[in-house]
Amino acid sequence: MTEGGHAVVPGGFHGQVAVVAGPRLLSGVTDGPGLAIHRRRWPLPPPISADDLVALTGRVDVRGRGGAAFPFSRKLATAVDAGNKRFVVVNASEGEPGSAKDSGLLLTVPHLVLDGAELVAEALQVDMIHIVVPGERTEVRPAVEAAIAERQDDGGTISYVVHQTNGGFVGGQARAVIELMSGRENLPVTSWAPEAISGFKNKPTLLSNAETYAQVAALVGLGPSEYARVGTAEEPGTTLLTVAGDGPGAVVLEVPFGVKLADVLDHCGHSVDAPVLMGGYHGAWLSSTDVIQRRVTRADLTAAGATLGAGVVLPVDREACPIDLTARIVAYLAGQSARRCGPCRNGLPALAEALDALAVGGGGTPVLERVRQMTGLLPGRGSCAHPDGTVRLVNSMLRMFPDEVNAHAYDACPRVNDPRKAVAR
Amino acid sequence: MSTPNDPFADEAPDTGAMTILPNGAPALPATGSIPVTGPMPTSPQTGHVILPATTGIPIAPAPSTSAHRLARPESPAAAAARANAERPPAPTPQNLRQSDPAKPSALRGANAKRPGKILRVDWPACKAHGLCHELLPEAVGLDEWGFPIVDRESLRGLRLDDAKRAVAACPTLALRLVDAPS
Repeated sequence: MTEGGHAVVPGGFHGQVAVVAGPRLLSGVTDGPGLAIHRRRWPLPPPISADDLVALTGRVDVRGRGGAAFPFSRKLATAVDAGNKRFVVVNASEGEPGSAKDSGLLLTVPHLVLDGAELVAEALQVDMIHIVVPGERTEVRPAVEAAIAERQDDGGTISYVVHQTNGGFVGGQARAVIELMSGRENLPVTSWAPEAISGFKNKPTLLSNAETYAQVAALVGLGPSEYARVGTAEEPGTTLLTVAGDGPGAVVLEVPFGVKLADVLDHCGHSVDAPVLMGGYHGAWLSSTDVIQRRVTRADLTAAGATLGAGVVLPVDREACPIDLTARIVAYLAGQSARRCGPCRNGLPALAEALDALAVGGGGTPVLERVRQMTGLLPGRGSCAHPDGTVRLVNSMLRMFPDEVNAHAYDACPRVNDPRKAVAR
Repeated sequence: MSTPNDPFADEAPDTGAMTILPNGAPALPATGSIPVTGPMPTSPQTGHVILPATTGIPIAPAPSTSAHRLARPESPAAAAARANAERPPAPTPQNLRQSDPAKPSALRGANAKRPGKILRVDWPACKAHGLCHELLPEAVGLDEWGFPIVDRESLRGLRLDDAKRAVAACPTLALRLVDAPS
């Protein structure tokens, strides 16, 4: 099924990303993005009714791949029940710097995503699909538009609207995306009902991540038995991962659920005896012990106090200080606040400042208390989960590196090998 | 890819995407490890520093270099934390919850068929006027910036009428009474 190889595409947050050929979604990455060659690999899927698609995606428990892992069949069933005038949105906005999988998909195998979106649209009796592409990765939009043009030249009857986010970490949040589509500022607003009940134009809106649609296309194409042939019994199929996506050398790859995280890291040329930030900047730290022991499943990563999220794996240099890295990420996240919600606008900079003081070292109990005060104060008090995700990261730092945290608070950074500390001395 | 004035430029050498790529990516097995058929990357790859020093990196590390930090006897956060430690603690969901845990769940209403209600804040609309706290001090605290901390547990002790009055009083209509999530 896989010929091997990889495609190098410009969809990384900082330039090129290598999209490695994988067993399913990424099987055609070296073919080129054309429709004709795509059809040789993935024949046009037969239409499927909404009820059948709900049942099929429920049977193999397809989960949303944007980070929240919400059961796709439940979201689809909600949209089916919520009314007749519906909207379908493909969210490929990917505001997380550590993720490049959705851009990778659209730059290498766009028609698999569009196949899935059209299956869903036809099931929901919708003749228009909205696609949201990232503001930062400017190559994605023309690639998507070229793929759409190919389908329309080929007699496709579904029309498309492409929206490009204004960029930023929170620009891809579901409500921010609906704001963008509505011609308003591309920022989160308070959600009073799930999008599948009341989304775009207050109508039922099936808004899912780009990979989710590709998984749906693969599931319909392969059938449930073949789809579930790889992966684990509880989590069938494959998932896309982005390794080191926030830096040079980003790799997007597709693995069956259940592979060892250490094998993924090793495969990509990273050390396995260092902590990993799993799930992106809103994710959680994994200790080096967990890095060696854990498998790529939602259950195993949750058991380790982490999350698979959108499949972001951020390896860390062995000599780097996790407290300092956390402080720098939180400073970035504070800067990415939409600055609309008071607790986030005030609280994230306060948390960042406290973490900066912690990373510098010697702040003692007051600094630790300030960090804990802010982590207690922020969650659940915003129109999106930006403060909650940031606190998740900080809490995982406190939990995973208690000795380092205490060393910083009451003394100094124990990692004298940190290159920046060395420069300072 | 590095900017000339980036203090961390030496941390994340631009190895280029190609240097760490597997030369061949074989089909992945149903379980177990990923077999590697091609030679692995030859460049020394001792790990990766997240938040690399490339252009476009959203992190702005310049003001927090170690030299800058070490030159500062006490950071603003430490000072704030010190000052804060001398003040009474800001209300938090935790200490609010301790205020009256035994209150009955009056907000659920006398009619048992009526769904439970909770107060929700439309956060972008809230401008920290604080009237909700004035009207419902037992259930709504304020953080140090004046933004409400709604304590769901203490809501159980509220009368529905009082909650409605607070909702009506909010100058920016940022407070709403909504059905509790089932």
